Amino acid sequence: MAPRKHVVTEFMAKNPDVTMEVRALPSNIQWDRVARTTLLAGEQVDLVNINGQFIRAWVRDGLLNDLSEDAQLKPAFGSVDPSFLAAQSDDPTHPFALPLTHASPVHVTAFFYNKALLDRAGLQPPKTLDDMQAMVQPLKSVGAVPLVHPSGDVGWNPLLVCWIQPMLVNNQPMEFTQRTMKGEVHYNGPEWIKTFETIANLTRDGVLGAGSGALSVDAAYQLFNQGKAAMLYTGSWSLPALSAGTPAAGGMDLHVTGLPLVENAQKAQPMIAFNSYAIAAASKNKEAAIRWLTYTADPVVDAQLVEKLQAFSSMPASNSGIKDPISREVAPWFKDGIVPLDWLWEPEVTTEIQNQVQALVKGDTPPAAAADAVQARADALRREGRSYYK
Amino acid sequence: MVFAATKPRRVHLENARNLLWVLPVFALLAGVLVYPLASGLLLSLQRTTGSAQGEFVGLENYVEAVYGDGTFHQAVGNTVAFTVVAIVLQTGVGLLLAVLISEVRRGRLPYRMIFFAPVVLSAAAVGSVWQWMYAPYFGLFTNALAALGLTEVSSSLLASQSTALWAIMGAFVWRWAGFNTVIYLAGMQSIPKEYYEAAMIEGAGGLRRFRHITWPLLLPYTYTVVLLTTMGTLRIFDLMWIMTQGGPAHATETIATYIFTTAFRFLRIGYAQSLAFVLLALVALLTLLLTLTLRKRANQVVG
Repeated sequence: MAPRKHVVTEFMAKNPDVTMEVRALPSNIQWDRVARTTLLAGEQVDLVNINGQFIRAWVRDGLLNDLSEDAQLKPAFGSVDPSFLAAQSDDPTHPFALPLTHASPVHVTAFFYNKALLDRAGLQPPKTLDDMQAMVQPLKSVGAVPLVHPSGDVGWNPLLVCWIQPMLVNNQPMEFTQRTMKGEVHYNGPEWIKTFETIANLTRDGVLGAGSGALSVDAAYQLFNQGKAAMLYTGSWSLPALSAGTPAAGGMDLHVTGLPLVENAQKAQPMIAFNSYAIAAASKNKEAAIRWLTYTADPVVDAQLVEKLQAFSSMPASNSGIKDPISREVAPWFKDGIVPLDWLWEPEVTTEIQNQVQALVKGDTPPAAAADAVQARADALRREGRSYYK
Repeated sequence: MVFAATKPRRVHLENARNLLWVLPVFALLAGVLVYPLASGLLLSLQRTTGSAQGEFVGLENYVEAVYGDGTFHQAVGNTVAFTVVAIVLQTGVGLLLAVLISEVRRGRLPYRMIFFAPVVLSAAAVGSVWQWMYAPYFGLFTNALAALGLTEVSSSLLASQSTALWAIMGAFVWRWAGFNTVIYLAGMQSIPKEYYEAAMIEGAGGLRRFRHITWPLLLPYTYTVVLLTTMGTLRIFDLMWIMTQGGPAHATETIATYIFTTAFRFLRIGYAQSLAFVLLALVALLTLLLTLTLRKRANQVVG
């Protein structure tokens, strides 16, 4: 039986008065549309397995219960690493969702590389952007490029901003993002233009494989697995796809390294991403929902699930059960993790950044023009009173 | 003495009975057409995310769409340009295929089936396959163009702002040209063979026969093809969404994709509704223009 389903079955066995029906919804933006429509239609929903990018909007729209009001959940929140609670809310003292492994493992972004390919080119994994630029010619001689990125699937484009920008703003990305959203810093200001310039230069300098502007994520995985790209910048959520890929004739020796440093930065700050369980504001079975949260937040249950899934938990104690060697290589990068910045931006700004970064990767748009387009979108939001910060 | 003519009571009863028969249809129309239109119109006058009671803002949404939303203006431009080119290509390719098929003496049916087959495929399948054909490194078209020295194998027509829209046009014409071919084939079968025989006796070649017989007599069908293409293309969403989602940088954003993004990504249901009514007005206006110009000429031919 699938590990998650086993937990549900066990819970219902221990709580015979509770029946759980789990409905799977499409992922990403489609999830938000379908989930909201389900609630609006008046369907009975008690628990919501919600990705962090949607939590702030759902809280703003009054769709979730404030879990700080339930004393029974205090031990559960006590088991979770506080940084995950901080990532999903501007006010961690009023959490609206509980990040649990059963909702989803926690993931972190990193550079996944093919050591066999790097060895053939006589290279080491890069520590800086300059190192990546130095890899271009040696890899070209073995028919590969340093990096490909699925910019054709525009949802992946904020990852490039989240890699580069924190290092350009003295590793104060949260504060910088809030100041930008409040209008104190402009999207066409020097830091943003520098971010977009650095992204555009990745293609110009041959670091990012040409064609990334149209690559889907599946095509990017294929290129990496077939040895046409030495590295892939993604999150640990991609591990199953990367591990199952068909390796090129030269072999695939998958390893993980941290995000290369940009400019004179001292540390990179990868993104951590995860889902959480929340209780719908319209729930008619709140007591049963709390019992579920308490059960899945039990350290023993969580640790068993982590061991079966071999994926990371928001509860640090559970992670000692991870034995998979590649997953263990991912572990160190959680330390300096930050919330994905697109979890904070307004959806209109996120969409505009996604589109403009795609054009930057293709080389169609000057960085300043991309920045102006995003600022124009932000200005329109502020004019219409729809910015998150008034 | 003047007698005023009145309808006999029998006629009134018959009219009332006839009305009773059509009442269910009216009720259905009211339910699936009138009520949604009216609700939509009310929604378009509100500022709402759809999960709470909206705030009435009058025509503010329409004013924003017409004067303040640059992305919407770009979407309108893309949609109109795409529609104009689609009309020309689909009419041309459809007619060309029909003429070629009509020259086949035996075994026309397989050709009709082959060219009509894409019409019955789902948009998701067509869009996914064409997206892969344009993919860098792996795509059939990308490799073909690279072999001809026209591009790099690492590039993609879908990734460039200048070519993405027309790359999707290729998939669109491939999918729908067969539909117009079938319409034109039906039209060509209605042209009396005697006209061609007489023309051939007079020494008219193929091109002159086409210009003076086939094309004029097919005008009513051309009107149908142009009308259907216009109404369908103005609303295009599926291929755009599957292949590029409106990117890169809104180069393939159409009115329909922008409505979808506005409603379900930005949760501006009221504003999205107003955009939908602007699209409705655009479709109605262009349809009226076509009806006034093309249909008149088509009727002259038939008359």
